[in-house]
Amino acid sequence: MMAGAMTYYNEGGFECANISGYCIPLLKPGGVGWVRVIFYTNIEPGTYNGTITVRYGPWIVSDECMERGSFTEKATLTIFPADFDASPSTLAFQAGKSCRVEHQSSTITNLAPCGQAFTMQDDQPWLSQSARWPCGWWGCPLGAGESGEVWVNVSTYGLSPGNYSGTIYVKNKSMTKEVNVNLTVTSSEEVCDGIDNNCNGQIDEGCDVCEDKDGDGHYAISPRCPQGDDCNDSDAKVYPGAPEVCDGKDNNCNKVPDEGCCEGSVSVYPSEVWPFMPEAQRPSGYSEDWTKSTITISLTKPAPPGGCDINFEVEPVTDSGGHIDNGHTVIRPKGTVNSVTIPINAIEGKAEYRSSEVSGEERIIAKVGEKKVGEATIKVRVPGLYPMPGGDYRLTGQRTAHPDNHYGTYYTVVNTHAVAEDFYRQFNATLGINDMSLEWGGLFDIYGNWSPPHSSHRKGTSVDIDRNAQGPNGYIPVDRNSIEKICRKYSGHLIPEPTIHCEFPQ
Amino acid sequence: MKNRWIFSLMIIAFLTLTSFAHIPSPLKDVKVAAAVKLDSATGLYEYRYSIFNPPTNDGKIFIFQIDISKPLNGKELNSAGLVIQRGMNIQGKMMIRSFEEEVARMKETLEKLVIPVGAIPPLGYSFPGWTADITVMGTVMWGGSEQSLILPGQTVGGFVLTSYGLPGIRDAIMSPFIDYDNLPEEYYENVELTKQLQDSLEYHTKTIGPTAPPADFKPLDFLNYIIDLKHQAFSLGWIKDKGIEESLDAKLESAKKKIAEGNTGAAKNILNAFINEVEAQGCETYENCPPGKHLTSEAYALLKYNVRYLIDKL
Repeated sequence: MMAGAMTYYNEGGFECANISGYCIPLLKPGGVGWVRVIFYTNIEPGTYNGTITVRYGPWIVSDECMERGSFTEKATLTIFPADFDASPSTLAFQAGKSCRVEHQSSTITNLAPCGQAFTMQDDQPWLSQSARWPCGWWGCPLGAGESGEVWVNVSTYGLSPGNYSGTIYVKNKSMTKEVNVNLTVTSSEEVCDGIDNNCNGQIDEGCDVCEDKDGDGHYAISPRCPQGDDCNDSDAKVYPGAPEVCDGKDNNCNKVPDEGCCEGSVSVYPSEVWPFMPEAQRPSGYSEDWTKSTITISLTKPAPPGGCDINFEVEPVTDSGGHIDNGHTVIRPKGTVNSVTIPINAIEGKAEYRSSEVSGEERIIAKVGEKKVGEATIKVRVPGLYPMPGGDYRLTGQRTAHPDNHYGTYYTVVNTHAVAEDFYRQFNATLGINDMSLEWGGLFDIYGNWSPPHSSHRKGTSVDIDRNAQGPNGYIPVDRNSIEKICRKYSGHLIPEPTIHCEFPQ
Repeated sequence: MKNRWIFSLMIIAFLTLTSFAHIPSPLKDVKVAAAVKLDSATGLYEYRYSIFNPPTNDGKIFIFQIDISKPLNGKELNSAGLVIQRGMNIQGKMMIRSFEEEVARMKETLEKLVIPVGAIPPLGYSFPGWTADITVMGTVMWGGSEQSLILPGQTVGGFVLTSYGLPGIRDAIMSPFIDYDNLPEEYYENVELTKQLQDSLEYHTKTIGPTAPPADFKPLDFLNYIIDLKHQAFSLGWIKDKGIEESLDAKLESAKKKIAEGNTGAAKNILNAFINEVEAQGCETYENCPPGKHLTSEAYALLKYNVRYLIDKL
């Protein structure tokens, strides 16, 4: 008995012995009956073996001449694979809007060693299919190894341009295979794209031949010339990859006209200037020209139509010139530069830098709008200042904002040294040498606010002397007359200040 | 009670006045008297000066300077034994520095070459008193103190120079005391304005001081130089009588002719006569100069010692 796979019926030749309402197959002597064996084949392919046992005996009808017994018959069932192939499994359609496309096909091949029937379905309203071989109500049969074509039709009526996808399902009694269908709906206007966009059966009718009117080797950009890339086919200086020149045009077709036309470099001459000096503090021979520098902007390309409007930013370099910025309470003053326009086709422009009263290093950044053109550095300083060497005196007055406050001209440093030594010889006490000038001179804002009270002390000629000197037994007041004499001996003179201020010649 | 109130007002007025900035008037008509004595054994000249600050001035003289710059092509002079007595130190001892040492210390900033000198300040003042120094500007500078300023109407002597240099006409500068602590606000840290004030208050005059004779000595040129000195001395009022001036002039012109002729003997005789006249008509010192003398001690020294030098060189 093949469990679940086979059953049998009393099919014919038997009489029916009615026992208690049941029909018991009954064969009379010499009678023939047959049994129909039915196989249920919804199982995996393979070979299945079973046995049919027939029992007989007299227990149904009392008959002493009949002995009881049974006999068996073997039954073998072979289930073949129901495989098939659908190829190609993907179909691609491209059609203009409202076009009907005839068909493409996929071939179904029966890979089973026996015949089987196929059915087909689709899942999109714009998609349809049909077998191209005879079919019945149960499906479309193909013998072992036979093939048949399935025609796949699409219709773009009512579809907007865009991409669509659908599926054809090919089934036999045990498996399903999919044929994917991709559809691209294009415009209904005929464009030069290799597609019959307007569904008139002609592809790319009316497309012009690509033209290069300006002879620059590039076709004009046009709907009828898909490969065209020349953004201006009437100008031989305009095409992709052309060198960008400063002519107001987008020469290289990157949609940016005249890029790089206001780029260049910046130089400063002289690269070192004096800080601006108020009138009362100017050394002999001083000229405001000393505070000016010429800034040259050299463009890499001639200026484009409209020119290059160059503006400048001046950024003081932190902690330069003898000022420690974080010891200051407000923003450091800085030099100024006038804006300049470099006219069309010019390759150079000049601007003028003017220093502030504050010494230090400054970055001069040239810009067109917010775009940096270049930058240079300028030093604002009183030249030739030296630090005080050691000696019989004390250096005083250092502050956070100005830790080095003892710079002077060579003449001042040497003479200050001599003044202090002469004082020491006479009074046996060390002078406190207070503020002189900063390392680079210029405004000496003792309170770190970029303002006087030190209106002098800018050019290395001013020396403040503390009013008390340190002797062996403590501090003693400095005799102002004695200091004045010693100061004068070395060509200096006093000026009024809270300390004793000796001013030396430049 | 009323007297006490008036007294209080006077005190307030005094304090107010004294706290006001006082800028003295420019010094005027300061008299510098100079006399020279030669130590014939050593060849060293001693120059002594006295300064009179007229009572019409309101400034106190604080600094006195004499130019000692070396003339172009001047002869190198001996500096042996020349010392600067620089004044007292806080221990009351005189600070002494040789001329050579003083100049060596200033060699980097010395603005002019100077002729070798020794210098002595007026003595007898309490510390810090007067000081004497050579300055980088090429002067000898005497400087006073609060206790030793030359007040209006006062005469102070004792400023001494020693040198192997012959007497010449030199610039002298007197500077008044300025109270820098109480100057008006506009002078505060104003370098130029303060310097202008200082310069405007100074008094410049001429005196005699050591100078160097030419290195390339030529008798005629030197005689012409003496003639020029004589003219300047007359202009400066050091030769007070025109007749004497002409007489001296005649002798110098006569000597000049003799030198030009190569007759040095005759020239020497005339120049000795010139010296005799100077000694007769002049005063060797400024302290004791009778009214009848027509040459001041400046003219006396200037003419006598330069002519003597010429005679010795002929």
